[in-house]
Formats: sequence, structure tokens, C-alpha cells
Amino acid sequence: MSAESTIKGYLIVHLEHILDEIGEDETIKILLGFSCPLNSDVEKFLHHKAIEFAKQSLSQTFLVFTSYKDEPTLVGYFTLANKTILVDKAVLRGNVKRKIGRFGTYNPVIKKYVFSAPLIAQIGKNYKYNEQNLISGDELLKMACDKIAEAQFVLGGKVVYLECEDNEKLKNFYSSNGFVEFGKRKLDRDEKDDLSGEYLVQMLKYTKKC
Amino acid sequence: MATKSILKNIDIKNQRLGRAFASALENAENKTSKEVNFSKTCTTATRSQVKNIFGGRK
Repeated sequence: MSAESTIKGYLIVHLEHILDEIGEDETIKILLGFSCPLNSDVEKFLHHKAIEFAKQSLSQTFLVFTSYKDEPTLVGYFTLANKTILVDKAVLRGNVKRKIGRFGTYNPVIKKYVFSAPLIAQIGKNYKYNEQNLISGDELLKMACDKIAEAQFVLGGKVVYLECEDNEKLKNFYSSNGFVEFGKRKLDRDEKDDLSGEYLVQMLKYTKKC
Repeated sequence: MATKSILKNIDIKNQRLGRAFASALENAENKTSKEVNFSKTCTTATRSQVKNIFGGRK
């Protein structure tokens, strides 16, 4: 391997750049090297949906590589999506309305406050290399938050959110990284094969601290 | 994490959830989180780096 093609440290690669360079068949071979037994949705998304969603611009996926045994090795990935959160004006009272107004804009046509909120849609370490401890969850989450902070530096916005399984260890992980719980989403029937529990916990983070 | 989260919208329509959302926004602004330092340098690949590193797979 030439010096030019050696990865130093962590290298974040936009999925579309790899697709452009080596085509879909070779890209899929790289993606199939990802394993996440803790959450099959995280694994299946990268294997079967990430490319399709990127082509439709529903989300964008970033692959994280490092050098292991002198080879570029996929150690994790994260997927981001641009979303909005809507809040009915009618459900907000005095003080709460003032607090909300600092973070979003009011749309008088739909009578709702609108919040631009990027979603960390998927994030996962490659457990194929878990024993080698090539990356930590904290590092991967920081990469995702930093990427969002970069986008918000250009476009504006103050928060990021995610939806995770209702698991104490997971919630503590996100909480220790600055996320605060704000709601729950009931799982659809077809989501229950890949996700545990009845609902997902919704958590947000103030991105100025990313 | 769930694929469907990408396809769904959050539309808060009741007072309890509205209060919880406002409270979370405020708490998140004041929340301290642990400082995370990368154990290695971390960079985003340019197109030419992607070409150099993965181009041989074509």
C-alpha cells in the first residue's frame, strides 16, 4: 500500500464519494463488512438502505475508517437526516411559549412553531473489530455531532435529536454526552422485529456544545 | 436507532408533550456533557483521498 493510500487516524468518508469512486458493487462489499449484533436495524440499514436513502437524499451516511493491519478498515458509521419538529401553538402557554420561541420560528399559516432539527438517524460501531477497540462510542457520537455543528455553523440551528431504544445503558450513554429526553415514539408493528420494547425514546442535544 | 425515524415527523399536539419539549430544550442548553477527545487525529476525506485509498478496488 502506498503512503498516499494509508489512513492516518480516523478518516470520515461520505458514502456518496465512495460510490462515485468505486461504484455500487464494490461499495456494498465494504458495507457488508459491518456488523452490529446489538441492533439489527443499524446493521440492516447500512447493508440494504443507506445507498438508496442517499440517492433519494433522505439521509446521508458517513463511514469511519482507520488503518488496521495496514488496511483501511471500517470501524463505524453514522447517518444524518434533515428534519423539522412541529409544535402546535395551541398547546403552549405563556412561559413555555416564550421558551419555545427562542429555539424555533412561528408559522401563522399552520399555527405551529417549527424547529429545524437534524436527526442522528443511525450510529454504530463495527463489532467485527470490537475486541480490537479501534474506536469508542463517544468518539463516533462526537464525530456525528461535530458534523452537524459544521452544517449548523453555515445554515443555523441549535439542536440535534435522536431516537433510541428504551435501554438504561443507552440512555446513560447519550445523557453523558449531553442529550436530554423529550418524548417517546411508539414503534410501528413492522419495526418490532429489529427493535426491542414498545417505543423509542427521543433525546435532544444543544449543538452549541458539540 | 431506527430506519423509520428518517421517514417520520415529530408533530407535538398536546400540552404535556409541549411542556416536556420546552423543558428539554432549556435543560439541554444548560446540560454539561463529558469532554470527548479523539484518541487519533480525525479528518474528513477529500475526494482525492477517497480516490487514493479506495480507487484500487474498481
